[in-house]
Amino acid sequence: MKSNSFLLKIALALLVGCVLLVGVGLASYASISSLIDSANRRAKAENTLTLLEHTFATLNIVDTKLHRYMVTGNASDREEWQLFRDQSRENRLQLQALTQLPELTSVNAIFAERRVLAQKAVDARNSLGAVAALGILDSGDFQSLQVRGISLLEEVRGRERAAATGADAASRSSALRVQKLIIAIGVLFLSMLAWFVYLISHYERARDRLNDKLTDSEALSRSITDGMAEGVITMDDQGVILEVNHSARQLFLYERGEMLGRHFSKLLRRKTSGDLSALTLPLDDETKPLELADQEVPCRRKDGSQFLAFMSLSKVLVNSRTVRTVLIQDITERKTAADALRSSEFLLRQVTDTVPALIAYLDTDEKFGFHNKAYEEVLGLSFDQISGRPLSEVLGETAYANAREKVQEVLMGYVVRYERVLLTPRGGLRTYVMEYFPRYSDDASDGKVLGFFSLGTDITELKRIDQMKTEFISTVSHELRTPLTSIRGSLGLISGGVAGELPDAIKSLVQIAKNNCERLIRLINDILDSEKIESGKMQMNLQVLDIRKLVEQVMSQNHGFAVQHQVKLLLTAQDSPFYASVDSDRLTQVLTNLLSNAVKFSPPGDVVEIVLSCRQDMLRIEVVDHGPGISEQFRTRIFQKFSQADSSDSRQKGGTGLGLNISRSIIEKMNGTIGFSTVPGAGSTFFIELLEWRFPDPALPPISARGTASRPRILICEDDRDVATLIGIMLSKAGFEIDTTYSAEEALARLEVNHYAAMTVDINLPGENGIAFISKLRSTPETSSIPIVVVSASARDGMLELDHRPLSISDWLEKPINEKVLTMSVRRAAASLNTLKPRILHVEDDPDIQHIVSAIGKDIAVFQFALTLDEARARLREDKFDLVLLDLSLGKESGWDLIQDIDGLDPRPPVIIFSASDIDPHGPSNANAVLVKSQTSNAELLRTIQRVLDMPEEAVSLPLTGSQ
Amino acid sequence: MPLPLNRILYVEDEADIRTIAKMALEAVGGFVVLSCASGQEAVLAAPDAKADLLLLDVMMPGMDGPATLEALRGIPATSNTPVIFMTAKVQAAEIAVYKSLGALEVIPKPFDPMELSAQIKHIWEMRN
Repeated sequence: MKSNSFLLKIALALLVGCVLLVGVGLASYASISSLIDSANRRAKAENTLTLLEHTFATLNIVDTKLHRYMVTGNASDREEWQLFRDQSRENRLQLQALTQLPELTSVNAIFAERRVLAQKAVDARNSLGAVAALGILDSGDFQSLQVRGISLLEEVRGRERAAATGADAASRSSALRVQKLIIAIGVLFLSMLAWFVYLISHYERARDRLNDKLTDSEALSRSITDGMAEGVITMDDQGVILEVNHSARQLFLYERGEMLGRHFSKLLRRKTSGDLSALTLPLDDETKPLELADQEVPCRRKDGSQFLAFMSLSKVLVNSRTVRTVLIQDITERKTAADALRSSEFLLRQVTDTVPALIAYLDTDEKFGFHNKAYEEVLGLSFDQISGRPLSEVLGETAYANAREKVQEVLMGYVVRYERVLLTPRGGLRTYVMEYFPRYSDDASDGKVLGFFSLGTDITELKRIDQMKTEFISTVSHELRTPLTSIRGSLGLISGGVAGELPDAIKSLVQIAKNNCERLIRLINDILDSEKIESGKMQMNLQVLDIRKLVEQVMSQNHGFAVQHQVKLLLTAQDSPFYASVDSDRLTQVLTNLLSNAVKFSPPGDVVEIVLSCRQDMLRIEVVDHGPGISEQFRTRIFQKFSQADSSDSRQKGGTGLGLNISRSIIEKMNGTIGFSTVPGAGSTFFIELLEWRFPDPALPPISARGTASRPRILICEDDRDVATLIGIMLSKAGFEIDTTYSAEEALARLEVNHYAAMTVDINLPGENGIAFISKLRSTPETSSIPIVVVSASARDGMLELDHRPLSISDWLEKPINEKVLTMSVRRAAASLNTLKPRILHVEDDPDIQHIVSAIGKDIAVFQFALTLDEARARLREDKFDLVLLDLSLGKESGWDLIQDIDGLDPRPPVIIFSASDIDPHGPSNANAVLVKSQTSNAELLRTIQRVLDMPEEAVSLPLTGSQ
Repeated sequence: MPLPLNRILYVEDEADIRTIAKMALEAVGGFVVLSCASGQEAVLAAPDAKADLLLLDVMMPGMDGPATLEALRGIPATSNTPVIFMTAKVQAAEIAVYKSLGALEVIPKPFDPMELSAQIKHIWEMRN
């Protein structure tokens, strides 16, 4: 485009210049022609004038010569006259010839006439003498002729003069014009020159720019190809290398100059399998496609070493020449990496196959993406029967039904751990701890679960050993305690004076025996505690408590001990509550330990100070004594087991050497720290630091539109704001979205607008009986199935009251709230909404039995209850049940009567008779199982339910009580 | 008006402990204690014991504490009598089991004979 406009400009300039030049040239030509014409005319006029002047002169001379002859009559004068006469005639003739004027013809005629007269006069002179001749001459004719001729000539002369003058003027103006034209031409020429100079310089600049651009783009493309990790080699149609990039040079270890001009085949291994003709052979047939895309090509470097490369070939037409470009990628590393991956995969496979655990990975479709050999062996299936198959198919529908809930839980993002009993192909039962770990997508913010890892560990043996250990410890502690009970009891009664007053000597001896007995008991207790800590069985029942109150209690408990040692206990604390989340029994144990240590090591009459303070969210309890302090050697060992400052201490002070070690473990389990500072001779300070519990701002959390799959939404209904906040915090921490309400009305309002995965209800709500509230929820279609966890200080009472009505409650929790129990219950409740647990109708007139059965079976089924036959019939009409558990003696009614109703149902649910009485042998016998209450253990009941429901007998931990 | 605690049916297989506890309850607490060496003995004694409270050891050969309780519950005289267990097994889970069986409280062994009566009185009062 640009070059076109440039050419156009030049053409236009040329055209304009030419047109102007032609115009000016033509004008110049015309002006010059007229100039020449004027000059010619002037020259002619001048010639004419000269001739005229000459004619005038000769005419005078002729007349003079004639007159002289007339006078003299000499022949020489006549000859002179004749000569000038002829000359004069010659002049006139010339003039006439020159001018072609008609006047001159007349003049010639006049002077011809006059010459005749003159000849007469000459003749007369010769013959008649001078007078006669003069007479002729003086005649009027001769004179008039002269005058006429002269006047005619003068007329001509006048005209010629005018002509000369005119020609002069014309030639001057022509000359002026020519001058202007010359200037115009000059200007035109100069401007054209300037225009050309401009265009040429412009063109030069444009060309420079273009060249720069070209250089730039070349540099750019070179830098691109040089920057490419792949080698790029360009060759001509004969395979001769034209250009190489940096990577190619590095790949082949050549300098650029060494490669250019070489044949490409020099870069390949000499003996190659496979057809590489497209690379190396000349291009004979242009239309033949190059068949070399991503082919593995063995290459050779300058130093002779070889490597494998992927090459892809393309050809381009450049200036009607075909150029081949080869893209070369060293795949040695990739091959090595692939080999390494294969070997690491092999290793992983070997590792997972060798480990005796069940290891698998399942995707969100619950299909096996990976499993180890143990899986195949334990399930007795082949690789293909597991790999890529869905879990339901691999486990079988019934076993899958038990795992389904856990799978759903892990796919929601929770780590799941449960025990599962598997029947091995050899017929043995093995207990496995199954752990499911969610696998999240790499995008951390996404939080999407892609699948889960499943780890199954065979704990059959472990369980057996653990059971043995537990039994051993239990037995030993019992066996040791039994004699100790007797000894302590005896000594206690003796020293208490039950057996009568004792002499002082005996009294002191009995006291020694009693003290050592107490020590032995403490030692056993401490050993049991130590064992619990080590086996990780020490459970912390954390509650938010006022630590000040707890400290005061501990002080009053230890008051007697202090008095015994003549030591005073003194509390220094601000007059405000100090809250922390602690296990009250365990913290009491620790504080007792610290206090008794301080008392024991205080001199009589001294004070042990307990200082409570709070700084920067840290609650600090200090126990300050003024005893001997702790020696430097002992400081490092003080928290170790069986550590005492010196062996005599234990005897003197009655300690076990385990107290501080246990204390430290307990405090650490409560996320606190324990430490001390001491000045030998001046006393010691032991301190405990615990995180202060901050009650959050009671402002309502914002209402979100809806809970998500990963954060199910829970409605909290609780009148005590502090408790509500506490529940909210616990549930938020456990991954729930929460809405908090403080009354039944508020809760109902929320339930109208929102959907919840579950709700917690305090049954002691103000203004409304919690039981009535739950009944209302159950009778409303929208909330009839919402899982409810009851959290109440009087959960037990409520439970009894409520069980008279057929309301299904997911769980009952008593206050104070245990965080772990709460989150587990709510999680289970939230999950139950979506699970397909079998539904059991329990027809039973004893609410206690209803409760026990539901506690036993709550992990495997959802229970609904009916107290009377009418209620049972109503339930059966409303709902479908997978099983009916039937008591036969329902007050005055007989459960047998319900069997007929059940028989009429389609599908007919199986029936288990669960009754106190033995079966009437005459009654209908179409029950699927019959159990007698007093003869059936909880486990047997559970097994029977599972069997009738066609469920695998899973190791469901039997709840000891529903109201712990 | 809470029932006064007067008569205790006490079952303990260890003779020494039985003697001491009986002595402690009678001498210190002023209770009437009917002590039995086994569950069977207790079942036999129960109908006429007029016990206000059952105090049962847990670990006993043959019929253990819970079994004894079950048996006593089958006897009209003791079908509703409040029960306290005494045990040397003080693990939390075990205590929970006994409480679930309906025990008012579980008193750990070894007990302080001078405090035992006060402890039982306290539990009795709390129950009411």
